[in-house]
Parts: sequence; structure tokens; C-alpha cells
Amino acid sequence: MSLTPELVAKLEREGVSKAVIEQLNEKLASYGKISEDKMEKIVDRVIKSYKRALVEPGENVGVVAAQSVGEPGTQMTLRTFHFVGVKELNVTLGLPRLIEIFDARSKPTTPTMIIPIDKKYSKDRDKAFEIAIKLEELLVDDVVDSSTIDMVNDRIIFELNPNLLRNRGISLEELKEILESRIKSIEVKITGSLKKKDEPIYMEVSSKRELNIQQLNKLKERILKVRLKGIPKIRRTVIRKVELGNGDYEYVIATEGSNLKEVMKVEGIDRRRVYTNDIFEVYRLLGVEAAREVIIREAIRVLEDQGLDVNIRHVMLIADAMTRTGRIKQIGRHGIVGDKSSVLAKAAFELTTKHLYDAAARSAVDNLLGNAENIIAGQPIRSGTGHVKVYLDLLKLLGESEDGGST
Amino acid sequence: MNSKKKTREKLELPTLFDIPYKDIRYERARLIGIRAMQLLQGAEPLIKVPENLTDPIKIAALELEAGKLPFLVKRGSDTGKEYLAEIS
Repeated sequence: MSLTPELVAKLEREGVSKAVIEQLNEKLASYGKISEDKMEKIVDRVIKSYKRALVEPGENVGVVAAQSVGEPGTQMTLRTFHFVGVKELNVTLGLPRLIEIFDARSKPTTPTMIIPIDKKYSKDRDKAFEIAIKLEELLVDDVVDSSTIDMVNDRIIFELNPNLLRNRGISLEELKEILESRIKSIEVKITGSLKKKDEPIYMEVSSKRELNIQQLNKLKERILKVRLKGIPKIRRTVIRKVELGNGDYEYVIATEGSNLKEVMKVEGIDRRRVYTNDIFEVYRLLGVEAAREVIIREAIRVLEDQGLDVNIRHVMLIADAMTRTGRIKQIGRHGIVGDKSSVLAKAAFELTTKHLYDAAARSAVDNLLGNAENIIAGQPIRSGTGHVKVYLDLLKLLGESEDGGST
Repeated sequence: MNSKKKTREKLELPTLFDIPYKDIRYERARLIGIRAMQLLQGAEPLIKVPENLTDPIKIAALELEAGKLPFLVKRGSDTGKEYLAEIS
């Protein structure tokens, strides 16, 4: 069963939001035939519940949201790390992560991505591995066992790990080519072969220019940082099997490190569902709305992981407040930065005299819109009953008296 | 009478839906509060007060329930405009 157009119109007329109507429709679809009478009743109930759930004008939603997140926050364990099974990635959770989200740090301490694979081969574990290997960043550092500086001949000698090279499918020629193209001033000579087992492979690097020891050291560091394969910042990948319910499943790639822009370009992944926990990366690439969504998802996940039941609306409000201006603003101990334009509000917080002198010098005006200002001025604040503005209904008053009322 | 028409027009500003004043507890509280204050200062009740009822707050609540209070409430609508809403 689904809603008739008349019922949808009724719901809309009563102000029920589109999302709720959609959800109701979805829910109804899973039921069999429902009589018209019952349908009507269901819709009436939904309207009633919806209106009951509405927030009244004047309600201090911000304070309520702050308390609703703050109080459960006090119950969170301070344990930062947690491992799920073996080989799993380690992600910052709990209070540290929550603080990180609301503080709008530009980089999370543990950036991670969840990369679903294209529908075509989302059930193919081997394919998932193949893509994961492509993603994983491989630096020269990762294939080098040891490195020494040969001061006599002005060169650097690296001992390479043949197993790693073989596993990651990098030939010695490739290695030489990448290095020489990346750093122009060097010459690379590799001795040994990947075919022979257990025979060390040496790579000698010498510069075309004369270098002293410090410069050689610097060059060595530079070479170790050269990326041979993969996507920058993706340090490690793990294949995860995700149950989708009804016995359905898919493989996703979880990563340590995040690089949304580059990962989205990779073939074979489901570009639309790639997810990263780096809020600012999402903000830069996809915009504020997407960033807001990530803030909500991350905060709710942290709270839920700790077994705390916080209504998503509170988190949504906080995320809205953070992203309202079109940029991500942190919620620190000053509230949302830049939100306070009132002199009195600033004076009430810190450096009272300084703010007042400054304001006097600029002959600043305070419109007494915020709470702090009104309390200083000895007025009711503009929220709750203080938000209601009552006017005299002269028409009614006079009409009453004309009808022979006693006033 | 002319001015009465004007008030009606003001009321019909587009808004997603009107919440009855009864559903907004802050409005109720404020209206009852204001009226109770007036009663306390000697205003005549607008309704027939039941015997032995002397609490001005309760009288004010009864007046509000009866729709006798001559007040308007200023509300913001979702269109961003403000309008005066009748309370009965």
C-alpha cells in the first residue's frame, strides 16, 4: 500500500515534512492492503505525532542541544584507541574524537576512508585486493631495508628488499626510471636481480653535482620520500566484508590516511559512496552541505559507539550552527567564533574594561539582542516567554465594550 | 469596521502552518501572566468568575480559555515576515 495523492496533499497541508512523508510511504509499502478507513487513521496519527514532536517557538534549542551532547559526553571513556579484531585499523574514538569534530580541527588525528567497490565486482574479494593494492601508497622508504652514505665516493647505497618489490610489482627498471624522473640531479645504478632469490639488491645513487655530507643526507631523505605507487597519504588498506542484510554482502576497502580527491579518480571504486572522516577534505571538495553531513555522521557514530543515545536532531543543530555561514566554524569555549558582535556580550566574558573602553572609543551600538546583553541590562532574555511579543487587540477590546461588556 | 478588515488581511500572510496559541506554552504563559497582572491591579474579569475563585492566575487562564483576552501575539512566519496572530 502507498499513500493516495489526496492523503499526501493532506499531510503537506498540515506541514508534515517531505522526508517524513517519504518514510511513511516506504514503511507502508512493506504492508499488505490497508483499508481506506485505516489509512485515514494512520495519516491522522502521523500528523498528530509530527505536531507533537515539533519544537515550540521560543524554545531554547541551543541550550538543550548543548546539554544533550554535553551530559553523555561526561560519561564517555577517555580510552582513545580501540581495535576491532586483528589487523583492523585503529581510529580515534570517544571524547578525543568528539572534541576534534566540534573543534573543527583541520586534520583528524586518524584520517580514514571507507571505499566501496563498484557494484559489478563488490562481491569479488580478489578484485577488492587488486584495487586496494593500487591505492596503497608505496614510498621508496617502504622497499628499502637499510641505507648508508658512502662518503669516499660521494654516493648513497640502499639495500632493497626484493620480496617487497616483487609483491608490489615494481621492477628494478621502473624504480630507476621513477627515481631519475622525480629527482633530476641524480644517477641511479642498481645491481642484482629480482629473479635470484635471497640475493641482496643494492641501489647506488650518486649526484651529478658535488655534494657535502649534509646535502647527501638531505638527498637521502628526499629519495626515501619518493612515491613509487599508489595514492599519496593512503598508508594502509584493509578489506572489510560488510553485511547488507538479507544475506547480501559487499567488500569495502578501509584505509588509514585519507585522500578523497585522488581516490575518487581511481577506477573500479564506487565514486558516489566513498567516505572519509576528514571533514575539511569533504568541505574543500564537495562543499559545506556535504561537510555538515560528515560532521553529523561522525559525531553520531562516536556517541553511538559509546552506547550513548543522543537524538540526531541535537547533533544536526550543532552541525548547522557550525556550517551556517558557509564555512566550518569551531565550537570552542567562546561559543561559535565570530558570532558575537555585541559589545556587552564580549565584555561579559573576558577583559571587561578593555572591551568597554574600545566600544566607547568607537561609539559602538548594542542592540541588546543576545542573552548576556539583556541580563546586564536587567531585562528578560529573548527566549521562552521572553520571546513572545504581546499586543493589545484594540478591535476586540472596543468590540467587547460595544456589546455591553463591563470594561 | 474598515480597520477590522485590515487586521484580517494581515493575518493571511503566507505561512507553512499556524500553530494554535494553545500549543505554544510560552505564549500561554506570557498571556496568562500579563492578564493575571492586570487582574491583580484591579481590572474587571472578562468572564463570570466562579465563586470562591480568587487566584488571578487561574482567572486569567479561564479568560484565555474562553477566548476573551483582547491580545494579539506577534509571530514570525517561515517566510521571514512578522504578523499579528489572534489568540482565540
